[in-house]
Amino acid sequence: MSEIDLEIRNIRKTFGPVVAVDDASLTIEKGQIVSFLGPSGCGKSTLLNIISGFIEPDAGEVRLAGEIISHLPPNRRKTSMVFQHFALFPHMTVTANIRYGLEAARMPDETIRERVSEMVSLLKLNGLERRYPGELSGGQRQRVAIARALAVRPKVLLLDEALSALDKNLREEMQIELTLLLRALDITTILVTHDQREAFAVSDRIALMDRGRIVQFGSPQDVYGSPATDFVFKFLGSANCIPGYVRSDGAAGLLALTDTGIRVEGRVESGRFADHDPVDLYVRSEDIRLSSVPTSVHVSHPGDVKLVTFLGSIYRYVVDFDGMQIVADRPAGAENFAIGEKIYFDFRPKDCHVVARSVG
Amino acid sequence: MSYAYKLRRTAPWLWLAPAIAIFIPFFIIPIAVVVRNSFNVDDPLALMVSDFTLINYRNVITDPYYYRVIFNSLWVSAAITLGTLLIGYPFAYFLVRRAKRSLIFPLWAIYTPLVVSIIVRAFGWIVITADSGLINAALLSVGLVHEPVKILFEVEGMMVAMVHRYLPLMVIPLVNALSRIDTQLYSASLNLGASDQRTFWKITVPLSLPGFVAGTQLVFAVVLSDFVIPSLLGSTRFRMLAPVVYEAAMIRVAWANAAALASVMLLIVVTMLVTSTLTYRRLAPWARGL
Amino acid sequence: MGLYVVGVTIFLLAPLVFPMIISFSSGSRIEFPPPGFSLQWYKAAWANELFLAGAVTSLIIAAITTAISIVAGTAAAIAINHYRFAGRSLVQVVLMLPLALPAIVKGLGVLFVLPSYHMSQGMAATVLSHCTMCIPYVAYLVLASLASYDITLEQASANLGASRSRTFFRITLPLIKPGIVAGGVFAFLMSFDNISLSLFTSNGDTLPLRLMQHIQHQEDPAVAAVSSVLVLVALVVMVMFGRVLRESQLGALKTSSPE
Repeated sequence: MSEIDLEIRNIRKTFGPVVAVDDASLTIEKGQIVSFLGPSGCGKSTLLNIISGFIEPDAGEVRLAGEIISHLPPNRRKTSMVFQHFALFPHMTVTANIRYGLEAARMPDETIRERVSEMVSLLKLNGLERRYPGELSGGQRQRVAIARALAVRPKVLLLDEALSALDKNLREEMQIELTLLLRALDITTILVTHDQREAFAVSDRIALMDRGRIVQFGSPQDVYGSPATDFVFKFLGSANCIPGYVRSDGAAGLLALTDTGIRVEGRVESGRFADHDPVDLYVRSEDIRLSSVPTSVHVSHPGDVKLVTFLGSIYRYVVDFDGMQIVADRPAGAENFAIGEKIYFDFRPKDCHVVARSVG
Repeated sequence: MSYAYKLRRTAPWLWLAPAIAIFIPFFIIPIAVVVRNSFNVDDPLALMVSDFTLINYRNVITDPYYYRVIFNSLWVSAAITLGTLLIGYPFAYFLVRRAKRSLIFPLWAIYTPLVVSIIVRAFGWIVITADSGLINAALLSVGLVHEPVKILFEVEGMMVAMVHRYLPLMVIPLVNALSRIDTQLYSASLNLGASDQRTFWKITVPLSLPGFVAGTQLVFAVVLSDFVIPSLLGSTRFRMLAPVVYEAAMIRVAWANAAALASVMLLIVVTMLVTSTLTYRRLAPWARGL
Repeated sequence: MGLYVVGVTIFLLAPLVFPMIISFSSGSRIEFPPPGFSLQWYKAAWANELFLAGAVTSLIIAAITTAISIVAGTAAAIAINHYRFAGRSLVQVVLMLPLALPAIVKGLGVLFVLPSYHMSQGMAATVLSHCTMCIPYVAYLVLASLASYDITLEQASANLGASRSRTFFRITLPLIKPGIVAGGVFAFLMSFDNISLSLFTSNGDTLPLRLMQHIQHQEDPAVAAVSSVLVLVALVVMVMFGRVLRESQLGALKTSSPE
């Protein structure tokens, strides 16, 4: 086990009646890149601001390399933030922006100049040193913001939706470059994002947040492969929602049966459900299996292919089963179906997530 | 093609026609005529005699009376500009940075002069500063003085009234500039380890420069040409430019003399506007888009 | 710091409040504290022919000035916002120039040129000179509301078969109305309160000039009564003006929302 760098313990923050962060605890190892992932309003930005010191928690503590920092003002913490819209000082050149934190720390001029030229070459800003932020493109501003944050050699780098201001191609390019850079510098990083692809692209660990709580913390493979809660499953990836109900079947115990007649065994825990409970079965589109002939699980009639969309590496099918639409992704090389064709669908029980349906 | 094209070219000028029809005869030509008339000669018998001489300017520059008047006006303009800045900046800063509901009232107060008549405000100062006014009544009643203190019709009283009249012209541009600063910049500054003072001097002050320039230009120009306050509250021993121009034109009917004084005023204002704008552009190349 | 704000606020409001106190005085001159309560100065002000006639003159001048300024200023704003033409930036500068140059110089200039226009000092000359100062305000405020105005709405209107004039009156005008109303209110106040131009262009018969002459000669509490009425009118205007401002922001919000 490597060295623990940042630790947050039982952080809680309320704004009036709203609980923004609810008993959040987390340990991050040195050099790890961690994403706080969740929908807007889940508390991820609040948590980031608690770490950087802009928001004071109601309870709990933040430790950096073992030392409690949650009582320190933001300008005395060794955390550097890259802001959502970069927050570059518009009246300062690129150089002056990068120098700012070093001057605030009253470093000798020689060190400052060395550090600035190091950052300029590291982030490929050569030739832009004397420009003002208003004269830079979005991608260049991003680089300046990162250079400015890294120049002060922070213990932890915080990125607040910092890539979301860029357009898609540039964003993906920056994701790769940033990941390589952060790995090379071996700097502990926290990235706040609502974009699952971004979180997966750059992180070692992902903390999924829902209504102020960290509901799962693990590697991208962990959270995608074994989601801890219904929320995690629904939030990650595009999932079909298939209505069904629970049935008690003597020897097999409780099983779920979709309205279209697919038997799903071994996915219903007896503690949570009872016979005849209505449920929703969530299945990701890539886990839906399509076939032109019925298999053993099928007891009902087939559906119509309504739409076929070619997405490059995959085909996406929209199939109508008596008014219920199923979205299924299949690799481009697999068997193709045409619009209007009658086909069946099923899925492996382990790929489905059973959730109690709220009545009404 | 050519009809539509012509229409596109003439359309903006058609929209501008009413404004142009008023601006040319009642703004552009009058300003030009003031400058032209400043080279004429006043005649005690006629209105003025057409000429092309610098004699009026020589009078303005050499006559210690006019020299004094111009100096007075420049001095008061500079003092009021500085005064409104010193009082207005903290006020504006506080209004913007501590934006709370309770500050609606002060913000509202700063806008009242835009809707309340200047005569009303000048009269308000008379009520406060007259020999029988509020301040003297208060001083006399507590026994601090036995004779009313002269405030009204003194330079000091006039300057207080001017600060009052022009404070909003300084504060409003400052409030606009300060509230345009992205608050994330303050967070960024703190995050980079800067103290509150450093953030104020390195971030807030430079970024409020557009408001500072606008407010300074505005206040300096309007104080220099202020007629009402010097006439109603000023001292006869401390003359200001605008009332002197008025007297020359309407009471002494020395139009060429009035035109020369007005041209000097125009020259000062234009020089001030141009040099400050150029300096500002050099000092703050980043503010071009603002 | 809070104390400082309170202090400055008191400084700003004091000259508006104390004349109000004096206006209800039963004394015969300005004195503190007032010996008693009375409405005598309101009666005196009302009975003063010069004040009443001055108010009427000023109202007429301000009303005509506002009407002309709204038309000319709105049209000028549309020219600047809708078209790119040679001389556009010069027009922009000249349009705002009257606000930067000393009013006293402008007034003197108008005085000089009146004879060559075969005009004399009076209402017409005053209205036209006030317009040079009020048109920039209207143009400025209309331009501000045009900034949030989506010009493709006009293309949409034309695309749906509406004529140019129908588009203007049904689409453009309603959307920039907040700017026009704010500009009109401003123009009216500026004209009604003007001294520097009226000094040279009128017969000295506007309300501000009458009041000014009166104040120069005597410290008459009747002026306090007139002042109080003017402050009250200003308050009413301000409340209405605030509503207009809120509406203009609401308008911007409405047009920018994707619905």
